[in-house]
This record gives sequence, C-alpha cells and structure tokens, in this order.
Amino acid sequence: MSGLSVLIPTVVSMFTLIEMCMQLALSAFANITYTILPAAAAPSLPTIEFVIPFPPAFAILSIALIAPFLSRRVGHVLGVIVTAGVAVISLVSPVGAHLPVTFLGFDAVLFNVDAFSRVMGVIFGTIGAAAVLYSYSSQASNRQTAFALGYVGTSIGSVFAGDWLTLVFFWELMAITSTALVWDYGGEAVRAGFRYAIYHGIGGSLLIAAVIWHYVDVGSFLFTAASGLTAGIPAALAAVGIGVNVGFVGLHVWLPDTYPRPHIAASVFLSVYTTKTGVYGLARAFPDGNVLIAYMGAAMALVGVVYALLQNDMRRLLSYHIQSQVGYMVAGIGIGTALATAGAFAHVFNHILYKALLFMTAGVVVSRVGEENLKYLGGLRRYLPLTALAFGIAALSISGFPGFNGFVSKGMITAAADKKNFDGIFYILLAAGVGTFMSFIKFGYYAFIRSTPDSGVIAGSENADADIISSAIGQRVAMLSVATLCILFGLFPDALFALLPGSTTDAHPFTLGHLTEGIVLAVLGIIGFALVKRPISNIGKVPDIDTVINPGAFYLTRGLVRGTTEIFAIVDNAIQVIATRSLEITANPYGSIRQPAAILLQRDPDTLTDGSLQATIGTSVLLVVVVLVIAFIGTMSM
Amino acid sequence: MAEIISLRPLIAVILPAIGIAGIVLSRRYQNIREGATIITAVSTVAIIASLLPAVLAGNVYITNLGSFVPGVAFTLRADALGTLFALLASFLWVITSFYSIGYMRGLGEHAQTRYFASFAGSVSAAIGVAFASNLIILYIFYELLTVATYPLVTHDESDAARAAGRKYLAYTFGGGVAVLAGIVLVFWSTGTVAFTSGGIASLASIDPLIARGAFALLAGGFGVKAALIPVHSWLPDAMVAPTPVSGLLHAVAVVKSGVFGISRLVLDVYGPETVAQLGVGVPLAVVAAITIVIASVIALRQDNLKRRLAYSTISQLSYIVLGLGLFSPEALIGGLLHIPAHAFMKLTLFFCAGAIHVETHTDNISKMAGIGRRMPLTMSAFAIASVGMAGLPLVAGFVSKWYLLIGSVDAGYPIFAIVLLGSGILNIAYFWPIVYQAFFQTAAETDAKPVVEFSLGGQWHPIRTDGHGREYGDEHTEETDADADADADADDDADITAASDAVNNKQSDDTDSESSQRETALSGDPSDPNAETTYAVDMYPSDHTTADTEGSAQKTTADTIDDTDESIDPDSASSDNETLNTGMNRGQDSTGVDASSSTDSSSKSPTPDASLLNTPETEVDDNTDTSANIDHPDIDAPDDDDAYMSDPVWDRRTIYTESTWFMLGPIVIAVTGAVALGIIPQQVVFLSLIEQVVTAATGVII
Repeated sequence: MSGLSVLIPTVVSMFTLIEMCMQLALSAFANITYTILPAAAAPSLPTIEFVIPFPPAFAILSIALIAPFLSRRVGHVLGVIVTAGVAVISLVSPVGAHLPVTFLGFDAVLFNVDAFSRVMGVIFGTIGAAAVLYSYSSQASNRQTAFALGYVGTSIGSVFAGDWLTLVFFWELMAITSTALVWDYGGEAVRAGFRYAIYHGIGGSLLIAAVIWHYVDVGSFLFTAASGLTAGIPAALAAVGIGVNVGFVGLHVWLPDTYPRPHIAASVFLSVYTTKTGVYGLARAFPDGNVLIAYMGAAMALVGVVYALLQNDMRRLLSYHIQSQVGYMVAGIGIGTALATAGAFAHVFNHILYKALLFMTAGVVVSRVGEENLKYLGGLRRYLPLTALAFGIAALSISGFPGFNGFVSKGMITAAADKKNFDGIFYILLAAGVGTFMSFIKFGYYAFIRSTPDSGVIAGSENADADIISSAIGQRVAMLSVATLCILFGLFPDALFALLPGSTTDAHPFTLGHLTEGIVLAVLGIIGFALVKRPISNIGKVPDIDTVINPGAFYLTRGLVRGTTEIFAIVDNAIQVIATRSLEITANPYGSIRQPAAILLQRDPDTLTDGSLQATIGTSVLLVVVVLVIAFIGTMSM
Repeated sequence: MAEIISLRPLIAVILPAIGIAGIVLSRRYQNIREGATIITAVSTVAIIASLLPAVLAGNVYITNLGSFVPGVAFTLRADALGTLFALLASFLWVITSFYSIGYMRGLGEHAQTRYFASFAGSVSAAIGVAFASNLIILYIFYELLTVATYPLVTHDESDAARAAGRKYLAYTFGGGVAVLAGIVLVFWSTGTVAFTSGGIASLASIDPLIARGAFALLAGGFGVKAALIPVHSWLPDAMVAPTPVSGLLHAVAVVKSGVFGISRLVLDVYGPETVAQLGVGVPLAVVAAITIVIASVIALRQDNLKRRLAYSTISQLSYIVLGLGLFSPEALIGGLLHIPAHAFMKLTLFFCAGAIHVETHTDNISKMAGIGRRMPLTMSAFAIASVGMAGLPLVAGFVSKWYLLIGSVDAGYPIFAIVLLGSGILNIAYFWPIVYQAFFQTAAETDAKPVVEFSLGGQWHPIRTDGHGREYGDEHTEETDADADADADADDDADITAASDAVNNKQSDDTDSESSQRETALSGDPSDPNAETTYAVDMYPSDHTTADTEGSAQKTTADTIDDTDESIDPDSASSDNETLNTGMNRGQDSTGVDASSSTDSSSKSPTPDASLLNTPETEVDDNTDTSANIDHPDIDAPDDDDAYMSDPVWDRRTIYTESTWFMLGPIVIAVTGAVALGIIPQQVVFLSLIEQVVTAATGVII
C-alpha cells in the first residue's frame, strides 16, 4: 500500500523532529521555571462527619431497578439526581473504612473512602449525571438508561470497595450490566456484546484467580491487610486480567469492536466506566508501580493513537483513543512515584470529562446527520455550531493544549517519567501527544471544518440546511457544562489537585517549559496532519489483532466441540454395538456361531442346528485339561 | 455433640410414603390428590425444618430401629450434612409440586396419579438417603430411589422413554452393584460401615490396596448417579421425562444423592485426612475436572434446550465432586455449598424450559429468538440463573465457586482453579446466546444457533437451522427449498451448502407426497391418523387460557403439517448431538427430537405474517452498507404456513398473561432462593450447616 509506505517514514521523521525540538526547548529553558499563571491556594475539601449507612452504589442500583417501570422523564430525572448525589457524597464523606461487614463468610468493607476512591466517586457521579441528561435528550429508552445506571452503580460499588472480594463482586457485575447495555441496541451490537462478554469474562477470571491466590498467601481480602497484590503470579495474573479492562496492547480489540455499535448515549457511558475502574484497580494492585506496566502504558498510548489516526468511523477513532489515553494513566501508575500517581488520577478525571464530551459530540453528529464515517461528513460547523464548539474544546483538551485540562495531567505524567529517567516512556508519550493532535485535527477537519465532503449524505442533500437539525437542549446543556469543566480545570488545576491521591507538590503545570512543550506538540501535529492526510485517506481498513483472534478462537472452539462430540458418539456407538451384539449372542448362541463353526468343522452350516454341536468325552476332557493348564500357568507366573 | 433420640428422622422419611397412599386414594378427585401432595410436602419440610435449631448447634437426631443385619443397625441419623440434603430435597419438592400441577394440567398429561405418587416415593427415598446412618441403609434407599424414579423417567411410555428408562436402570443398578461391592469390602476389612465423623479410623491402617479399591468401587458406583464421565450418558437421555421430573430428580434429588453418597464417602467413611493420605482424592478431582470441561464442551453443541441443561448439570455436579476430592476446608465448603446452589439455579432453568415448552411448544434454542417478549418473567429468571451458573456474582454459583477456587489454590493444585474459571467462560458461551436472543433479537434478525455450528460472526440468514437438513434431521418443507437456493450465493460454509443440496435432492422426491398430504391435513383435525405424535414429551397443546384456544386450533393444523413432513425423512439422524439411546432407536429418536423442534411456527395467522415480513425487508433494502449478509428470498405463496422466518413473531405478554402462577410462582421462588444464597448464604441456613459439617470433618474451625 503506497499510503503505508509513506506513513512509516513520516512517523519516524516526526520522532526525530520531536526529539530535536524538545532538546532545544528544554536546553533553552532548563533553568527557568517561573510560572505563568499564579497558583491559587489549593482549596480544602469540605467534609462532614456523617457517613451514609449504605454504599452509594446501592442508591444508584435501586433507581436502576425501578427505572423501567417509571415514565421516561421521571426515570431520567431520578437518574440525574442520584448520580449527582453520589458525586456530592464522594466529595464530603470523611475518610475511612466504613460499613465493615461479613460478606459470604469473609471480612469485607463496603464503603471505603480515601483519596483514590474519592476522586473516582466524584468524577463517576458527575459524568453520570451529564450522561443521563444526554441520554434523555437523545431519546434513550428507560430500559437502556436503567442498564446504564446499573453499570454506573456497579462501577461506583467497585471503586468504593475496601477489599478485593467486594471489588471483584462489583467488577463482574459491571461486566454484566455493560453487556446488557450494549445488547439493548440490538442488531450488530448483540453479537459484538457477546464477544465483549467473553473478553471480560476472561479478564474477570484472571483477576479472580489473582485475588484468590493473594488471599491464600495473605489470609484476608482487605486492602489494609497488604500493600497491593502479592508479587509474582498473583500480580501477573491481575495485570493481565485488569489489562483486558484497561486495553493493554493485544487485549484491547473489544474496545473498537464494541463501543461504536450501540446507541449514541450508551457509548458515552461505556467510554467512561469500565476502563477507568480498571485503572483504579491497577492502582490498588500496584501501589508502588511496576516498570513493565509503565512501558505497557507507553505502548498503549502509541499503538492506540496510530490505529486511531487510521480510522474513519468517528466512534471507532474515539475508541482507539480511549486506549491511547488510558495508556497515559497506566504509565503513570506504572511509574509509581507520588507525582505520577497524582498525574494518573488527574488524567482519569480529565479524560473522563473530555472523552465523554467527545462521544457526546460524535453522537450528535451520528444521530443528526445519520452518518458515522468521516469521509462523508463536512461543513458541520454551520449546522451544528455548538457541537462544533464543544468538540473543539474537547479536542484541545485531549490533545493537551495549554489552557485545557488535558495539558495539566499529561504534563504531570510526562514530568514524572522524566524525573525518574524513563526516557523511552517520556518520548513515546510525547509522540503519542503529537499523534493525538493529528487525529483530532483529522476528526475536526473532516467533520466540521472542510466545506463539503465528496460524497455522502451531506453532499447529496439538496436542501442541506433543512435536513440537519441541531442538537437538542439537553444535549447542549450536557455538552457545554462538561466543556466548561474542561476549561475550568485547565485554567485552575488546583481545584482538582485537592482531590488527588499521591502528591502534587512537584506538579508545576504552567512552567514555560511545559507551555512550550504543549505548543510545540500542537505545531508538530498540524504539520504532521498536513503531511499524512492524503496517504492516510488512501489506506483502507487496517487490520487489528482481532482478525487473528476471532477466527482463531472460533475455529478452535468449534474443532474442540466437534472433536469431542464425535469421539463420544463413536465410543457410545461402539458400546451400543458391543452391548447389543453380546445380547444377541447370549440369546441365540447357535445363530451367532453357525458360520464360523461351519468353516472350522468343515460342515455345511445348515446341518448345525441347535444342539448339534456336541463334544465327545475325549474332547471334553481335553478342553478341561487345557483350561486347567492355562490357569495353572497363569497363577504360577503371577 | 449430643445425640437426641427422636422419631422425627423416621417420620420425615415415612411421611412422603404415607403421602403415596393419600395420593392414590384420591386419584379420582384431581384437586384433592394435588392437595394431598402439597400437604405431605409442606409437612415434610416442616418436620425437617424443626430439626434445624438443634442440628445447627451441633447435635444429632437418632432414630434406632434395631439391628438390620448382624453388625449393622437400622438407624436413621439427622446430622448437619443429612439435614442439608433432606431440607433441600423437601423444600424443592414443595415448589416442584406446584410446578407439576401447572405443567401436567397445562399439557393435559396422562397417568398423573402415577406421576405424583412416584414423585412422593422418590422424595421419600431421597430423604432416606439423607438420613441414613451407615452405608447399607444408604444403599437400600439409594436403590429404592432408582426404582421410584423409573416410572417418572418412562412416564411417556413411548419407545424413546422406555429406552431411556432401560438405560437409566442399567447404569444405576450397575453403579449399585459397584457400591455394594465397595460396602462389602469396607465391612470385611474394618467390621463397620457406620458413618463416623472424621472417618472410620481403621480405614487408615488397613492394606492401602484394599482401601483404595474400596474407595474406587464406592466412588465409581456413586459416580454413576453423580454423572461423572464416562458413566454419565444416562442423564441426557433421561431428559425425555417431563420437565419437573428432569428438574427435581435429575438436577436435585437423584444426581444429588449420587454426590451425597460421594460426600458421605469422603467425609464420614474415609475422612478427608485418610483420603489425602491414600492419595485417592486427587484422582477423583481429576475425573471431576475432566467431566467439568468435557460436559461443557459438549453442551456448546446442543440445540435442544433440555439436553443443553443436562450437560450443564453433568458439568456442575463435578464441581461438587472436585471440592470433595481436594484436601482443603474451603474446597469442602465450596463443594458442599454447590449442592444447594446448583439445585436452586438448575431447578430455575428447568422450570423455565418446561414453561416454555408448555406455553409455546418450543424445545430448541434455534427457535427461541425473541421469546423474551412472550415470556418476560420466565426468561428473566433464566437469565439470572444462568448468570449464577457462570459463577458471576449476586447468584449462588459465585459463592460456591469462590470457595472452590480458594480451596484449589490452598490445596496446592491451582490447575483446578484454572479448570473452574475456564468452565465459567464455557458457561457464558453456552448460556449467553440463549439470553441475548430471547430479549435482544427477533426471529427475523437473529444469528443461527448453536453459535459454534455456524459462521464466524454469526449466520444471519433468516432461515431455520433445520434448513440445513442433515445436521438437525428435521422437517423438510417447501420454503427450505427456496432458502437453500437463496443461500447458494451467500457465504456459507461448505458443509452447509452440501447439506442444503442434500435437502434439495430429498426435497424433489417428496414434494408430491408432501403436497398431497398437506391438502388432506389442512382439512384434518388433531386426531388425523396421519399426524404422528412426535413430540418428545406430549402431544396435547397448551389449553389453560382461552386466549390460546384459537392459537391452539391453528397450531394443531400446523402441527399435523409438520408431522407429515417429518415422516419423510426418518433417518436424518442428529448425528452431531450425542446419540440418543441405542442405535436401534436412532431413527425414532431423531423424529422425536425433530418433532419437538418443530414449533407450531405458524400458530399466529399465516397471511398477516407475509405482510409483516415485507416491512423489515424494505427497511433492510435501503440500508446499503450493513445488510450485505441478509438474503431476501422471495416470500412465496401466502398460504405457505411455514413462512421463511423460523419462528412466529412472538406476541408480547406481561407477567400476568405469560403463563399460570402454578408455574411462574415456583420459578420466582427458585430464582429468589438462588439470589438469596448468593448474597446471604449464612442467613439462609445452608452455609451455616456446611460450616458445621466441615468443622466436624476436618477439625478446622471455620
């Protein structure tokens, strides 16, 4: 493919270009670290001494159970209220291991509040509220939102768990509820949901194996009983098991397979919860980091962004970006320092905001225009101006442009990598940053900026103005409020720093070095996109690893199933035949031996009637002696 | 641990037997007869529940009836393990009785008195097995259980049923012989067969060869009823019995008495330490692990729902045996907890299968697309129970699997943990398709089932799986001819096109006879002699709600059409499924299976279907990109009863109109029990009983 042969050298030359620019920038400004924006005093969190008597997940799950029986409006209003309520509760609940119980015969903690779970609770609740609002205005059915609320509730149950048993309990339920959410849409999503269920079943099983092994070693499931998971096999199993959720390279194919298929509002939910709960789980399992995981994170960041750049389906592009951005988080957790941990969780927070926003904008485009493919889109800034604005903010956030929230958290992670001298990770993450810019410039250009597409719905429609309705009020409120948060946390990151685990003392987002870095990446992104735009548009579908895994698993299973059943059929048949033949022979001995006896005795078979075979005395004695001799020899030789 | 002398264990065993008398005496008055069953069942549960407080405190109830044979006392003993099994069997008997009423009356079954009486006898024998105080008493009740369940297995009195019954007897009496041999060995070498907590001490010191031999005989003999591979094949064939029988007896009482025997063997005859010392536990666990995997693999290929559930049972029973074979307290807890856990979950699944059969006469998964509309509560319960089967949280299966996993790693054999987790994935693979197609797909838009038999990514042609002729050995109708033609240019597997060619060839020979038969059948009535009674279970349609009578009249017409079609090809054997019964009956069985697989596909009026079909087609036509795989065969003559869709469009029902409460109530209770066991296993008494058992057996305070 000519496109690919141009792409590879382009990427390589970009790498060298980035390195050169970075070294230039850093050497120029290495010793100057004054801040551009003054750091405001970090606001302290308000806490109250009241602990709710039940895990917050239960509130959401109970609404999820009754929502299908309510009207659409009431169901969604309750959904917004309860998720926002959980965000507030997460913010103000006091730190501690609340609600200890004996669950299934083991000690468990149902509501554990510390910095990790607090930040997760806040963002999960906040984005849940926005997503429910978006669902309502996207005409989602009650059943779908009920499944979505179940998904949100189980994720929150998982992040507020104080022990591995509860975490795994809600983790598996999260897989089930998300599967139901994908299935709800019907059509192609059903089979994709089945594959998703199997992937997550395998991932969950590996995590369960890790937790069980850890229990046998340590004797308790509580987080307080040990620091992370026991090293060795439990840790490795957990890494792979959580890696499925998180999208490790090679374990990620369910992401682009599943996320683009269901309802547009369902995609918003899906993009948030599974992967970030995975990140949280990884932080619990590896509180001190792990070099291999750090490198895997870097690999995820790069592979994700390369595949994303090659996608034309909007939601598929965004799904690959999930892998890429989660790679940053995983790298942060792998690096393990206080700054890296803070950066990883800051990135969780920020990423949830802008990724949900991106899916919301993509959803508006898909539902209003009826087209999923970037090739056939164009000029939407005229028809969907607010959506375009929200998209622009989200794109700048995800790319890490200064002034938006992604810049802060990405900066923290890359700074942490730099501090620990993980140079490889540092440069790969920067390269991924350029790639992110490129792919979102692609998205923005094709969908919103260029005037008309060459073909497709928009080009073909004569009265284009009348055909494309702009976004609904609820969608706009959801999108713009999330966009506002992106800008807010981009300009005033200290508001977020108060929530984070780890330590933000070394986080200086607005140094000149970092700002330069951000702008240089943006410029490289524009140049890069200009270079690769044409070659990429000529590349067809680039296969991902599922072209090998899916047929492999399917045909292997079929071979196994067919082989087993055929063997059993043969064996069963053979036994039946032996049994019936034996019965026949015993019922009718003469009938069975007539032919062989005739040949042996050289007589006509018809003369062998019943009772005609008789042995003389001599023959009988001979036979008896022969049998006795054989028996004698047999016993002697034993 | 105090021994309390009481008559209650004896009463618990005798009561159901007395109930037999009541049932038989009131045979002319259906409602009184059913009332007798219910009263007997409730009082049995009450008696056994009254034993609970003292048993939970560690005491044992004894009823001594004197010496049976020299050296063996006829004593009934209610300890924690026995009470667990007895409570389970009797409680589930209550709800199964209600379900049986709904099922048998819904189908208008024959010989109901014999059915209910045998049921009571079986439960009596099961409780006898539970309360046996030594191996001989257990053996007696074990064999009585076989005898009592034989009339239930052969209830239909068809050839298939009789063959299944013969096979059942052959296997279980064969197993009984092995058990007796083992008992004799134990008695001869130690002088006692009484169950001793922690095991009979002298077994640890006798010649290991004899000890191992006795263990092998006993485990093998009990293993027949516990459906260990290779002595498992009676169980799928016994699915010919009515569904409540399959449910209670083959998922709860009969097979559980097999695992109960193994658990007595491991806990009270040999004791866990001796088992580990002799080194017989791990081979038992290996056999169990092999069973778990192979049975799940075979289940992936079954199209008949009850057969799929049967293989699932075989697989899940070996979870229990696996737990018993490993020397670890958690493994024992897990294995024993799986007895009630699996009972509730599997009973729910069987009840759902039976309700589907009664309401819609659908037995095959490939015909059940969209059935969640028609039976929402049933399929929801099915979904919840299958979640538990896969070992996912909230339902009982998670708890027992969790303990089993801990036990496997604790005992030092993590390979068994891998087997268990792999089995969970296989469970997902064979249960999820049923659930997703029930709720999230329709007959017009469904991938062909079983998933593993068709194309990668799903085969979306809207044809029956029976259109592939040979593999499922079923009816040939004209529209499969049309479908086969339409398929020729689609991306089918080679063998499927070959099969459809075979269909075509057979088809052309038979069209004449078929069409003539069809004409006569159309004017026929249910008693048309041409209509073979080819349902596996029964031949009478559901008749419990007036709304159905129209449908059932049309159904019977359609049925006769289907039946005559099937008679054409009796030897299109379902060779891919594990063969049913003997080779002699193969032809018979395939028609049996075929018939049950022929849905009353046009129980809804045929002509509106044709018009309904047009709309999805035209929508699909507009969408150029995504419909590449969907064929649009011509919809031919509107009088084509079996339209090109494999199933009717199920009409939407609510939980009040989907079925009778006789059947829905037990389903709800069973699934609630499964969920309760999954969340609060100690409070619902079973886990507490098991902790008692394991503490006594291993000495480890749980």
